[in-house]
Amino acid sequence: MLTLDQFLALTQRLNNPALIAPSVLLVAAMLVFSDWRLALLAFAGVKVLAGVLFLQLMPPEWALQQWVTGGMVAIMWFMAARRVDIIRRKQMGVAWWKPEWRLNPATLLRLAFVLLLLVVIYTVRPYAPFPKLPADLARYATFLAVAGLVALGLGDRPMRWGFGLSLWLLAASFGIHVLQTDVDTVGMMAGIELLLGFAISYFIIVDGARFWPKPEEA
Amino acid sequence: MSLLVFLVILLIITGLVAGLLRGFAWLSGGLVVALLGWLAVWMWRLPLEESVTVWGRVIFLEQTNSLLKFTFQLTPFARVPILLMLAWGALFALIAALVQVERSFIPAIPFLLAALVVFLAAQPLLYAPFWLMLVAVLMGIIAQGNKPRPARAALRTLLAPLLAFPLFLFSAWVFSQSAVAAEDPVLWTRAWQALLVGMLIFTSPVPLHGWIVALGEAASPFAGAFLVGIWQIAVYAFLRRLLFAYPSITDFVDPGVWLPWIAVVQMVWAGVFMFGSQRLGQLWGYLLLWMFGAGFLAWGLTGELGSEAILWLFMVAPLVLVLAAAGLQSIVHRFGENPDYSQLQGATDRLPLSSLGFIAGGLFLLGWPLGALFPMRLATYQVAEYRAGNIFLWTMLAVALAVMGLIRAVRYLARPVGDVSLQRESRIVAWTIGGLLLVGGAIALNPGLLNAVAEQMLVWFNML
Repeated sequence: MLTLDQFLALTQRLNNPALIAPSVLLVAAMLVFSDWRLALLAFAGVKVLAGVLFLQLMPPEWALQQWVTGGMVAIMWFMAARRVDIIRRKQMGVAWWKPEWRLNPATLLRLAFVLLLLVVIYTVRPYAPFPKLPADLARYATFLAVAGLVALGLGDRPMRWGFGLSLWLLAASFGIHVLQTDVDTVGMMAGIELLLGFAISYFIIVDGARFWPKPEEA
Repeated sequence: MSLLVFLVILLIITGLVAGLLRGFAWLSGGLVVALLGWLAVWMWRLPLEESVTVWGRVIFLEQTNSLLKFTFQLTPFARVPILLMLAWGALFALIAALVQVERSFIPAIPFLLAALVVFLAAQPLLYAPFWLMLVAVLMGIIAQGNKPRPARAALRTLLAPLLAFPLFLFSAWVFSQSAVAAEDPVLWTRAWQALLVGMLIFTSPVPLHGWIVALGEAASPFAGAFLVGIWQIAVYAFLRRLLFAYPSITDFVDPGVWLPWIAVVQMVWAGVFMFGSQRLGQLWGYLLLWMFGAGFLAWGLTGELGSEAILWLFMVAPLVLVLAAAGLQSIVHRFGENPDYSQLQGATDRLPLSSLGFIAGGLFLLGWPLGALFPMRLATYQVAEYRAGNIFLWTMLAVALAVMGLIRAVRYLARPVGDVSLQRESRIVAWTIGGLLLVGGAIALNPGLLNAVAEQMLVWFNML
C-alpha cells in the first residue's frame, strides 16, 4: 500500500495540462446528463482532475483538499438525491437500477446550449486575465466560470444549481489560490464549498419530495 | 465574555428552544418576541465602553474575538443594524404567531439574526462576505419553509454572496500588496473594478433581482418580506462601511450616480411586472422588489445627508410590510399558495380586512397617504424631482404602474363569491390588521414620533 508521501509524489506526476481536455468534457457531460447518478459521477471526475491541476499552484496536501471537499459534497448530494429517488421509484414501482435517460426537449435544450458553449470556447478561446495564473489554467478557469453561469440558466433544480455554483467557486479558486495559498484562504474557500454542499443537499430533498406520489407515506 | 459571544449564544439558544416549541405557535412566538424585544431594549441602553453585568456574567463591550483571518467586534456602528434587525425580528415573530404562518418561520428568526450579527461584526471588511454565505443558506432554508415546494427562491438566494465573495477576496489581496499600485496599475484598477462589481451584485440589480421575486412567489409572505428587508439592512450597513473604508472607489464610479439608476430600473421593472401579474404571489414578489429599489433610491439620492431618514425608513418599513404580509397570508390560507387571479372569487366578501390589509399595505409601501411610509416616500420623490428630473419621471412611471397593478388585483379580489363554503377570516387576523392600520396611520400623522430614536442611531452609525 502507498504511503502518503508516495501518493502525493504520484499525484504530482499526474499533473499535466492535458488533463484540461477530459475535464472540459466531464463538465459538459455534467451539464447535459438528465440522470443524476451520471451527472454526479461527472462532477466527481471534474473535482478529481481539478485537484490534480491545482498541484501547479500549491503544495499537494492543500491542492488535494479539492478531492476532500469535492468528495464530501458529492457524497452529501448523492445521499440526498438517492433518498428522494428511492422513495419516488418505490412509490411508482420502478426498479432502482433502471437508468433515467430522458431525451426530452429540456435535455435537448441543455445539449444545444452546452454544444454552443463548447464551440465558442474552442473557436474564440475566451480568456480572463487572472493575474499570475498560467495561460492554460486561466483559459480553463474562464471556461469553468462561463460553464457555471450557463448551468445556472439551465433550470431551477437544486443539483444543477449546485453544479453551476460549484463550477463558479472552482473557477474562482484557481484565481484566488494562485495569489493566496495561506491556510485561512484555502479553509475559507473549502468552507464555502461545504456550506454550499450542505444547503444544496437539503434543497434536493425538499424540492424532490414534491414528486413523491404519496409524500405522507415517506 | 464579549458582547458578540453573548448575543450569538443567546440567539442560538432562543432559536433552539423556539424550535422545540414550534408545535405551539403562540408559545414559540411569545418566547422569540420576548427575547428579541428584551435584547433590543437592553442593547439600546448599553453604554459604549467598559462592561456590564447580565445574569451574573460580565460582558465586555469592546472585547474582540478571533477566528481564521477574522477579528470580530461589535462596534457602536454595528449596533445600529443589529438593533433594527432585532426590532424587525420581534415584530415579524409577533404578527406571524398571531396569524399562524408555517411553524418553522419563527424559530428560524434568531438563527438568522445570529448569523447576521457575526457578519456585521466581522473584520477585515473585505472578507466579511464569507459570513453572508452562511446568512444566505439560512435565508434559503427559511424561504423553503421546511415544505416540499420548488426550491427556486432558496437557490436564487444563494447566488449573490457566492458570486461576489471571490471578487472581494481578489480585491483584498491586491489592496494588501503595498507596491502593486505603482508596479502594476492595471492590476490595481482591476481590483477596484472587482470590488465595484461585488458591491453591485449585493444591490441585486436587474437581472440579478430574481431571488426577490422568487421569494414572493415561492416562499410564505412573511418569510419573503422579512428576508428581503433584513437583507437590505445588512447590505446597506455593509456597503456604507465599505464606502467609508475605501473612498477611492468613487474615482471609478460615483455611487451617487449609479445607485439611483440601479434602484429606478428595479422599480420600473417591478412596476411593469406588477401591472402584468397573473398571480398574487407574483404581485407580492414584484412589490417587494419595488420596495427594495425605493430604499436604495432614497439612499442614492440623499447620500450621507439622508442617513437619518434611511434609518427612519428601516424602522417604519416593517410595520407596513407585516400589514401587507398578514393580509396576503390570510388570503393564501383560503386560496392556496401563489393563487392565480382567476381563483380569487369572493375574497373581499369573505376576507374583507385581509384584502384591505394586503392592498392598503401595498399602496402604503408605494407611499400612499395615511400609510406609515408616506412622509419618507414623499421626501424621496421631492428630492428626485429637485435633483434629477429623469429619475423623478421614471420613478413616477414606476409608481403609476405599481398602483395600476394593485388596482388590477383589487378587481379580481372583489369578484363575487364562487364557492359558498369559503370560510370567513379569523377574528384575530382582522384585529391584527386593524391594529396595524391604526399604528401606521398614527406614524403617518406624526412622523416625528421616531425622530429621537433615529437621531441616536445616527450618532452610533457614524462611529465607524
